[in-house]
Amino acid sequence: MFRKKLTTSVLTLIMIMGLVLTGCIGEESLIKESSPKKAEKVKIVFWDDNTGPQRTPIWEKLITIFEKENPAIDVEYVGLPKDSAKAMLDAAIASGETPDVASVYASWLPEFSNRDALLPLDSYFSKWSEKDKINKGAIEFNKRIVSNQKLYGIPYTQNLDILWVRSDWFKAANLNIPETWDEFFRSVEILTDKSNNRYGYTIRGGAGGSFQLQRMMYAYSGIETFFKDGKSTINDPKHVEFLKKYFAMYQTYTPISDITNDYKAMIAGFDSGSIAMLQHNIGSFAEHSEALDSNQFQAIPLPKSVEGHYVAEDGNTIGISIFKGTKHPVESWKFITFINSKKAQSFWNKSVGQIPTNSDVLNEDWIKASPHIQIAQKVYNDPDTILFEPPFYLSEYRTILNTIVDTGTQSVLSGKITVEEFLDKWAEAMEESQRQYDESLVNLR
Amino acid sequence: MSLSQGVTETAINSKKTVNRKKIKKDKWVPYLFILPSFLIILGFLFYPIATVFYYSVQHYDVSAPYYNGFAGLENFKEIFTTDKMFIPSLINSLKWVVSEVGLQLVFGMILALLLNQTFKFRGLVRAVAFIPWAVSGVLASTMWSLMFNEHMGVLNDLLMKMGIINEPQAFLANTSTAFTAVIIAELWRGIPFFAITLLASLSSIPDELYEAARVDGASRWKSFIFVTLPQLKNTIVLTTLLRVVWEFNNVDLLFNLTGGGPAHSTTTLTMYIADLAVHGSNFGYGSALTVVSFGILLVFAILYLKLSRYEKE
Repeated sequence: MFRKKLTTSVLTLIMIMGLVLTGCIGEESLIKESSPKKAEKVKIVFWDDNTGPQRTPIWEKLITIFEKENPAIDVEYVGLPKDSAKAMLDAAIASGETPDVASVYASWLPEFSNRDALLPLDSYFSKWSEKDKINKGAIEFNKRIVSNQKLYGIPYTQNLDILWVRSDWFKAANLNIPETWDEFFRSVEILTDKSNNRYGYTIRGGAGGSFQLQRMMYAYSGIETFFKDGKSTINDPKHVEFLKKYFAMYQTYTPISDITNDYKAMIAGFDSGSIAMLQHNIGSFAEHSEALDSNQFQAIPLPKSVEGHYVAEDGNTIGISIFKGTKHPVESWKFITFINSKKAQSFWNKSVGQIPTNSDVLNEDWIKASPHIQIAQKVYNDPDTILFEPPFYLSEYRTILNTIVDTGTQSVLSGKITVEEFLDKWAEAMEESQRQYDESLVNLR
Repeated sequence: MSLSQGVTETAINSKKTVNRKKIKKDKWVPYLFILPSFLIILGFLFYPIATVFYYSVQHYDVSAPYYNGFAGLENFKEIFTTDKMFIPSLINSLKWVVSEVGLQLVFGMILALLLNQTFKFRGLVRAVAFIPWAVSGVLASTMWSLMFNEHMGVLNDLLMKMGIINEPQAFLANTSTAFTAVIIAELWRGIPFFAITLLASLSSIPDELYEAARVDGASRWKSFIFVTLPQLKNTIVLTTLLRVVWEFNNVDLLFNLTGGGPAHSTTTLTMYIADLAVHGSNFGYGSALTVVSFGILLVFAILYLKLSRYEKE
């Protein structure tokens, strides 16, 4: 009797533990560990860096098409919020629980490759029949910024920081679209009407604002390099001059809530009709076009620098990378080639409003009919445009921007520190990081 | 010894042996039953805690891999000597915990005393009063951020209609109001916890004690001071201790409402640690800070229980 009870108890325990453990391990690991039989589908997990009502359906549609064309591959979509995507990937790398493939910014490649998280794609890429169609400059850039000069991401879209402006407000105020920085600051003043809850501009003072701030600073100064004789150009007098004007707009011509503005809040301000001008990139076109009529808004380039030429950040692309932990590199590569095919790139970039990297897509009619993409191409194709390259190769680059610059911006806006103190601290952090990087190279030799 | 005696003794001995075996077997069966829970706790609680202690003596910054390795006590030295954020964030933590726990206890007590009265629809009112406790942190954050919103927030609308303010305020974006705003949001969420636990204790106080106090001519206030409070003492001590630990470690509302900003004005120690991990990727230093905050809470808990003479009459 007792033995029977004991046997039942033990069996129950084993069942419960089995359930608990499989629950803990997760479906993904079980699939990873079992080698797929012929008839069995291979599942790959894809992480999108910017989930939301605009982009998630685009990916889902593309994945459906891919799965139809490749019935043996099942793609699981996981959407990450834009402002925390990097942190989530960091945690995944640290815990060894990475996806098979992910949408990865070019600027993340140096750090991820340093952490040995990504699979080099050179051998796959060299055998790919359509490799020559992908933007060579972007491919070369991705190789150049990583320490071992290997290819870790295939760019499927290119972006550019621009100004989104309410063209209808400019028209109503009989104002020309600003082409110089002086005109920009003047327009902000004129278009502010607090009594009607209208502000000339909005500053992104919250998460991710540092990246935009840096692009604005170099667009104003026209300085071509981040380091000059071992010193960072971040605290150059031109940048001090610019930021003093730029931050002086806060609260007078911009909402007080700007100090904590993240991406969503900033976009919402423009789309809800409170903001006349917004600095972001051409990638937010879909959001604006959903909220506003095409005759109400337009994209314009950031004004030419005080030196008289456009400045664009080099390597402003997003690509697909394969993580080293994948058990299915072949299927993952297949997914990459599909996303970079003419059909998929055309659909993705047309829906989002960004520049394709596949040359076949660049000749399509929708490109010619997209004014914001025309603006971006005008900047990129201008022979005088300076392509400014931030030190993406410093693995601390993003951390410095996230911790020192984002919070420093808030400190300046709240009057706790001066512009000079802020820029000196930023420059100091970058110089220290560069010093450590140089030291590590010496140690490697 | 007769034969029958021998047989009986043998029978008794064999029965004892069987019983001993049964007892022996019965001894480890309960352990078998608690084994799964024990393994889960070991895996999901003790292992991560041990990992935090391990990383606290390591340089482990994923964005600065060149220096990763054993650090000894360097992280701790940095906390107490050069870290400019440690003391301000600790002060913010103390302000946060004292105001939250103090106010939640006072309002929770008032709510519990009200809900302990007999009135119509008491059950429904109790259920409604406890709803905030059931709301998830993310949902509460979203709700309060909309209410505090400068352009469309209901709070601005009400305050302007009442003539208290002339123009909309960005409560969460102003360094002088952000901390108070977040405290109010957390207060809303925390009051029901005290109300629930105190109400449970209030219901168990015998009516005879109040009757005796009434006979002795005690006023309502005196009854509260000399009957209710002593009877609630253990509950108050335990709930405040638990709440202090929870509020000290609370991060969800702060993270979602202000992210520790503007300009660190709402950065508590836990928020600072979360920020180091999420945005700074510096897990070694973050772990050292976690160990320090663990030490602070441990010392507090021991002192608090000792000084409050918990479970001593």
